[in-house]
Amino acid sequence: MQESSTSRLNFEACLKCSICNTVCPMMAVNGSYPGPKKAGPDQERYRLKDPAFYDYALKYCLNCKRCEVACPSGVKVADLIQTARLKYAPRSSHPVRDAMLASTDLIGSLASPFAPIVNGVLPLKPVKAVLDGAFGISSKRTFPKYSREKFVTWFRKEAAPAQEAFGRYVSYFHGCYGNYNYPQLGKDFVKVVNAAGYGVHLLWKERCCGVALMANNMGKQAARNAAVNIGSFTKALDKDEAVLTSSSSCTFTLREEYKEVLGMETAAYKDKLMLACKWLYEKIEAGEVHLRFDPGFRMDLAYHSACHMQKLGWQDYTIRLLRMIPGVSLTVLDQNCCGIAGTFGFKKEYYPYAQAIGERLFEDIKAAAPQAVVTECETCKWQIEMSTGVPVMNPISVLAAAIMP
Amino acid sequence: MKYDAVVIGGGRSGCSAALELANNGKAVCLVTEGLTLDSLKPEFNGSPYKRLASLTSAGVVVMRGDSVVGGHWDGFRLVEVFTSNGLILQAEDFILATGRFFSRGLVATMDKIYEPVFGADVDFPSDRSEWFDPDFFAPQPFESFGVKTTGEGKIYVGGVPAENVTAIGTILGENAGK
Repeated sequence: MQESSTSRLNFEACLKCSICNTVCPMMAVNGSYPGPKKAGPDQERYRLKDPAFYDYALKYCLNCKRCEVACPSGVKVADLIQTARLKYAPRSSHPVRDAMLASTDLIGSLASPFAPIVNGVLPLKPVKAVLDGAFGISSKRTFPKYSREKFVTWFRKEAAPAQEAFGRYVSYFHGCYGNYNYPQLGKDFVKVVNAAGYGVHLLWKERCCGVALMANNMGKQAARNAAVNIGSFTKALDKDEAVLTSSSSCTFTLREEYKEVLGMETAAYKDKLMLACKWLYEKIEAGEVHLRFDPGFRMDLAYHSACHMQKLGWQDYTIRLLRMIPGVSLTVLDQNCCGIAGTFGFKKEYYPYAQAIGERLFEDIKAAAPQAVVTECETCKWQIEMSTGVPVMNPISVLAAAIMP
Repeated sequence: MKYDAVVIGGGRSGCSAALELANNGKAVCLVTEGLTLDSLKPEFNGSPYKRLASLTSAGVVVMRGDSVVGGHWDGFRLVEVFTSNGLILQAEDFILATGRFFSRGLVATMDKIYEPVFGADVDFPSDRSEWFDPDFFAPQPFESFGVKTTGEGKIYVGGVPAENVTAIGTILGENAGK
């Protein structure tokens, strides 16, 4: 007799209730997208029969995972779509652009030494026009800035010696954004973790988590990165208590996508790899860590939970942590998608959808008028800053600003 | 994370209990697998969204897309539960409202019917032929199976009543109201 009625990613469990369609941000703005129910479990039956049934409209999926969070039957709706894209998607219409956007590691290390030039040239109108016309990168998009000094360079030079004194350690997965674009985030992380009484180690080798590679159908490169990262986690956990992160999408990719989409083994590190906010909150609640906040610190903040943060289900840790800071007044925004979905919103043909999806969130932010929006996701940050003008901070940076010097 | 009460299951019973507790000033966390918060289709007058909104505005922390996978007991007292997203939720009281077979609050195999979260004792005849009536349209006996409870609705685990875990809703089967 058959042992189980469950197949890979559980698509037979779909009841056709359509709740996933009601939460899909893309379906709400784009009539060409068939919606998660059809794109995922429904069409999977056809694709299994003949890959020719692959639907080109699957390119519109943001991989935001809202369908999975909403599914009462445990169907891995977005994983079905994501794996189908990796397996069957035709060659992209803009292969060079997609490779450029997806290879955050490579582009970051190329751009970083010339950061002042790159940052100066990228916003120029003629450059944007060329990127738009020749590559298909929307000229309306504001690009993230690159940093001249990488986070790891700073860490090895400035912070590494001081870490020796702590005696207990965590490893830090800084992510591409933290390394090439915004090293201040990593500096804030070191400050907060040190204040909690822990030293910081870098991983033996860190590669891009691969979220952008997977979204751009570069599954093989993503799997190579995953193998290196998993090796580094195992090595780190021999001596360190945990591997901490500051980006929700990296965290989600490392914990979930490596297994569900790439088919890799994650059990060895999954429970010990988490966002720094979760780790900190648990330590504080257990009485093992005490953070002292500056009584003079005042800030009016609004919290935006990124889609992947909702999938992780950890928003409450960040919210509770921020509410521990005496001078913080916090508005929790409704859980709406910002629309950028990583590299998606950079692409010319998708840019209008990205902005249409984000509209509700932008209006909520403008109505709340906070000093800053707090979110764990760097691409949400780019999108919100560009579309609302309100600065966006990672919760780690808020903590770093609020703890006693 | 500490709460006064953790409600497991976001159907009608779970939502009602969470709302009632929150309105009485308790810190409540509701863990529900999907957004449905109901076994109804979303087409039914938008009730899942209204319900979600009324829960969050009452202060209930709703953990969506997550499910409780087990707990840690101190004797017969449940101290905390673990979820598939890696949350550890501590509370004074726990409410089990995971429903019956359809929502996997009860699971039937060839030889037994069990409650998968805590292994709560379930009332069912050992002879499998008594589980169902071959007449498809007849009332089916399995519809009345449910977890065994004390007069106060506390579940039994291994024949011993749990101090702080109350079962509510359809998971009670015909034990409901007794």
